[in-house]
Amino acid sequence: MGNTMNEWSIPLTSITYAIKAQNALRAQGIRSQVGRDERYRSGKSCGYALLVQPNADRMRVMEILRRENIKLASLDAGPPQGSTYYR
Amino acid sequence: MVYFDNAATSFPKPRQTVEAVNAAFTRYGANPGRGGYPMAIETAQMVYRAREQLAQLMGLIKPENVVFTSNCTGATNIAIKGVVRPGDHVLISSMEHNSVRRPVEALKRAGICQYDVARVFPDDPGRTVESFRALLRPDTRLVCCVHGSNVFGTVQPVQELSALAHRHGALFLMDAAQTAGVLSIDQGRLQADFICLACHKGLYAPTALGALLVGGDIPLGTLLEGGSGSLSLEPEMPPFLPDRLEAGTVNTTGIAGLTGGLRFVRGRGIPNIYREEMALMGRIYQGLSEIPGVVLYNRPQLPVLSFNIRGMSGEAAASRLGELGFALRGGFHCSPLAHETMGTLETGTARIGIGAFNTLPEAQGLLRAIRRVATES
Repeated sequence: MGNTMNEWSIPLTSITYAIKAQNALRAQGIRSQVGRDERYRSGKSCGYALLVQPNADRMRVMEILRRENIKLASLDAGPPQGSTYYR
Repeated sequence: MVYFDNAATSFPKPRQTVEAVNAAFTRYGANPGRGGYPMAIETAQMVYRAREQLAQLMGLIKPENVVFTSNCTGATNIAIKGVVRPGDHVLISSMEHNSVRRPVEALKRAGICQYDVARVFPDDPGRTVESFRALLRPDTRLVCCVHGSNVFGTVQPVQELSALAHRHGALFLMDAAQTAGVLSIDQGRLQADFICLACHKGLYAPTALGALLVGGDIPLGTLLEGGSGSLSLEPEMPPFLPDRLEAGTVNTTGIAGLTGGLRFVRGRGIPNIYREEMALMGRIYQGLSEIPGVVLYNRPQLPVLSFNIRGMSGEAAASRLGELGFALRGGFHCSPLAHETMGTLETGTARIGIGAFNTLPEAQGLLRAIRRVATES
């Protein structure tokens, strides 16, 4: 999670989770914007981030994201699982 | 040409679909999940709305577990080849389309798995469940059953089969190509692990769009690998849905069309669609039963009916009806197992697939044409 001058940036694993997070926060009256993860500029990511309004209660935001099972980029982990196709 | 081939794909598409496709070309022209400029984000939001609306219609809690595919066959292949491991056993129904039968057969021929076919008894769901139960094995990994037959319009007891599979520790896959948008489906109640959809049929999206609904956190191997717009520095596909199973650019035009199709389906209401289509089916069934030389096999539970005209193959009957201005499909409908089950493997059948835009005068015209062909033969 990082700060821009005015907004709080939460990196997410994918565009789907970024939009899901935005919708979940909007339902709770918290404004946010979907944009590129700022780490993109340094070549460390190609993901998306949610730019949350600066005065949002961070603990509440994180609780909403946790409840909605939103995958944060920093929490992404684990090798792919499942069967290996026979090719 | 009067169109009665809605079991293959629905036509015409509703105004809502056409408008939504148009919007894809004028408003949602970017690649979702790739760029960060406004049109890319808006396109991604449209795709997310489609996931959300489809999940809602099908009783699926997580929109991210809606995976868009190229068609229903894409969905069945991803699910089957994603979960079946070397040494596993798979059980499929005797009504399966080749979209399930062929991937399972391919795995068998590659020495990956074994499979059995459980006989479906169209008029006896209890016996159908029993035939599945008898073939379950300790190593059965996956049970597959088509919700509604694309040939005979039978509806299989999927609720009971899902429960049966889970009691034996197996996963359950349901092919809902013919039933989505026609019958109410509630994944939460059904607890199917995989629901495979053809969005271009009863959901009135354009062709080349299917979806795989994943019921839970099921580890899935990948069939395709490539760009996902996420975790791009990693050499492997991301572990989370939908990205893990959506390699490459998704069909945004088709997905936009799906939002229109879903609007149409919600507006009419699935119970109303079913009631109206089945009322027409009832008239056609009754009319066919009064035509000498017409052979019927079962009273369908869906607006899909197979018949034959004595002395003709299904293909020949459909072809002659085509000359008279009616679009029906004849032959085997990519489902040899279903024909084997119903005893039509020699002749195939002519198939009537009713859609939301068919009318009573069209049905009456079709019956007159069938009577004429039956008299000719």
